Amino acid sequence: MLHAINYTLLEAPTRDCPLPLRIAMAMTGRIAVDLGARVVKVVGSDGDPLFGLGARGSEEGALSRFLSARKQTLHLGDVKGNALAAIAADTDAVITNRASNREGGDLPSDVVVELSCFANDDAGKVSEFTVAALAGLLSMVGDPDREPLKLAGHQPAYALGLSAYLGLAAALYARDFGGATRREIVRANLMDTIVWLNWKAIPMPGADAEPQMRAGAGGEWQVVRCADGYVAIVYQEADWERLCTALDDPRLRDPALAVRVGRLREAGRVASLIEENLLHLTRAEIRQLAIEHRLPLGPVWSPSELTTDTQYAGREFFAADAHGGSRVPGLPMMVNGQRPGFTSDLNAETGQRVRR
Amino acid sequence: MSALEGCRILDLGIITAGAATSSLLADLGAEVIKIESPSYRDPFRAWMPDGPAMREGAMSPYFRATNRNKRGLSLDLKQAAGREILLRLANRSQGMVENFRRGVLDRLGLGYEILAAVNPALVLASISSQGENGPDAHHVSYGSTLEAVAGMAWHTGYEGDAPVVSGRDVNYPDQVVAIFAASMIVTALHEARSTGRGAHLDLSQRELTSYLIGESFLAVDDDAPPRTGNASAPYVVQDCFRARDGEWVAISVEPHDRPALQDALRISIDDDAEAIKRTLVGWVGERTASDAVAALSEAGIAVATVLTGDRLMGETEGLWDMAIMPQGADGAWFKGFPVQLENDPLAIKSDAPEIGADTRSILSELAGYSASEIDRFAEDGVVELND
Repeated sequence: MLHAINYTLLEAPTRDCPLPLRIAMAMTGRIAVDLGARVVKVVGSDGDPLFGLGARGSEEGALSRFLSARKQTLHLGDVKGNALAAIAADTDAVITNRASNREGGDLPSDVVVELSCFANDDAGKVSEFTVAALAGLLSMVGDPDREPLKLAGHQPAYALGLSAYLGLAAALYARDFGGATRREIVRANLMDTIVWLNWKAIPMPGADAEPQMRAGAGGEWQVVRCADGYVAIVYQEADWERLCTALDDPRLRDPALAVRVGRLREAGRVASLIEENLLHLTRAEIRQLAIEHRLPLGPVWSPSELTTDTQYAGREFFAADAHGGSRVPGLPMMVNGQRPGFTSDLNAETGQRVRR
Repeated sequence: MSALEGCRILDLGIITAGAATSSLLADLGAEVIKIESPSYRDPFRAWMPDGPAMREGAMSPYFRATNRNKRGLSLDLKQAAGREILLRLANRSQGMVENFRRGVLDRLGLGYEILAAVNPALVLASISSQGENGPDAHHVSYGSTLEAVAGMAWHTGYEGDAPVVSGRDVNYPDQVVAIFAASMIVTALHEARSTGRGAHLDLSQRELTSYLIGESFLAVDDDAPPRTGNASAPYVVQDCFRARDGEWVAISVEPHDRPALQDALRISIDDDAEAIKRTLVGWVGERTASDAVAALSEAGIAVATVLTGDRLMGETEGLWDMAIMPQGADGAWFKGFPVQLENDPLAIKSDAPEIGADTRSILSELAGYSASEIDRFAEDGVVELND
């Protein structure tokens, strides 16, 4: 288990920290907690802005319960004068947001992870949604004739949280083994992270200038109906023959559909044919078909259904939430067959106070 | 100086998930050796976008993006001599990355136990669709498969309509896993260096995709509509609105934005979300996108034009500076970084390797084989040389 590198991380947003950055640093802290770090989150006099947020607006506290489990809380009202700086000096790393009146380097810690919305200009108000719009990600999802769509949840902020954790891990490694004598400043921002994730949308030099856009019903990969829900039809060129064999529908053997360019030209017909074949199969049957024929078909499961999913159960992906019967995902990694963070103290102490 | 200087990583990763993971490790300063088989290349080498300048023989820009900063070794792991070479290299490395189908590494006789026997401090990162074990371990996937089976697609889509996936051109789970996997490998390298004990990291892309909607599992409500378009807490209204010039404008309105909206749009302070949305449809529809963005931005509302990827380079200057790195005068670019370190900066120091570009030097300098031994390996098809 990853116990030898336990460290202390201070989540220290400024009072006016934009919500996306607050969520991102909470995700970074959540990963650190799962790996055994002691994480202290600083909460200002206005309270934790994550506390009132549900998964999709109505379920109060879900975001905080997911991101803050097993962290300790330091209420700013409980500290006097420069006490926060003194606390930071005792930590291995601080994660904060870039603020106009303070440089991240002002916080005395070996590693300071400084988050921002943009690389150089954070003047305007932003949301994850508007940054995803600027970064080209929104334009890639949904139907071309309808409004662009966001992905579920808080993908921009969570992805930034992952970027920040990568920088944090590398900086701590360099501190311990690289002979670094200076404090390291790690910088990550929402815009760069989303552009990095959406890199294939930027035309390659010399490639056709046609912009990449959401394809909707004209897309190669589509979601179609089945007997008890929906299934994502996902395949590459090498999978087509196996898909035809699995569905055993001679119409799919139409020579016009034999190569990718032909299937793209008739994407709607291909999807309709596949849907016709799947309408009499349940998602469980499609899952079995996919495994048997080595096909990347994706039955669409709900979070509710996944809490009893056999794959997740077999790998003990979920643990009980501290507040009752809900299930909370663990760190998506096993180390030598065990999942870090899944000990009896998982059901911890959301909001344990640290008094100085 | 780079953060991971002195770390050597053997890279058996292909396409995005595996190769982009080790690419980030290379950006951080690790020496990454990309290993391809003479009979099976990284399929990304063959992925070429359409276009006049994509000349025959050119290296795929997708491959370049995910394999820069690496050295190239062509090695046939199906031959005993190839496996022996790999084990010798594993003995002299700190990490290995693979995203083969489950069971392939074991069938090659190169499972974790074998690797750990030659190097107990080695970190092996296995990146897979579903994880190393479980009833779905052999359910193959591409990124959007995982959006479906992990619960993300369930909550992505228009209200009252079918689920939606990010699709082939984004393939979101395949992108995001590289950042997460690289960070877990760095963490495990830290542990291994501290303790002398390596580890087998079993990274399931499906689990990561669920983790990235983790709060949804704490708020299961079977009666709530599964998909709500672009709506999201804490925003009263969040959606895209079509401007007069056909552009889409993304707007997020927080509860405390009501007074500002009241001034800018002449709404009533008591208007509910639907009323505000109706007003925005009309108000944005009467303006060009740039006028709407300017006015709402001035009013302190989060707003932006929805851009396509081809407009990023020209219209978002100053908003990002490391995700894409310009290279040379011909407009070429490299995929850059999602994070940067001030004192130990990530950097692109070399282009992606041609097949077997560094085979001879790696076998000679790292594995200690003589020139005649290397020539014999080449004659036997165990390695490919690019002398």
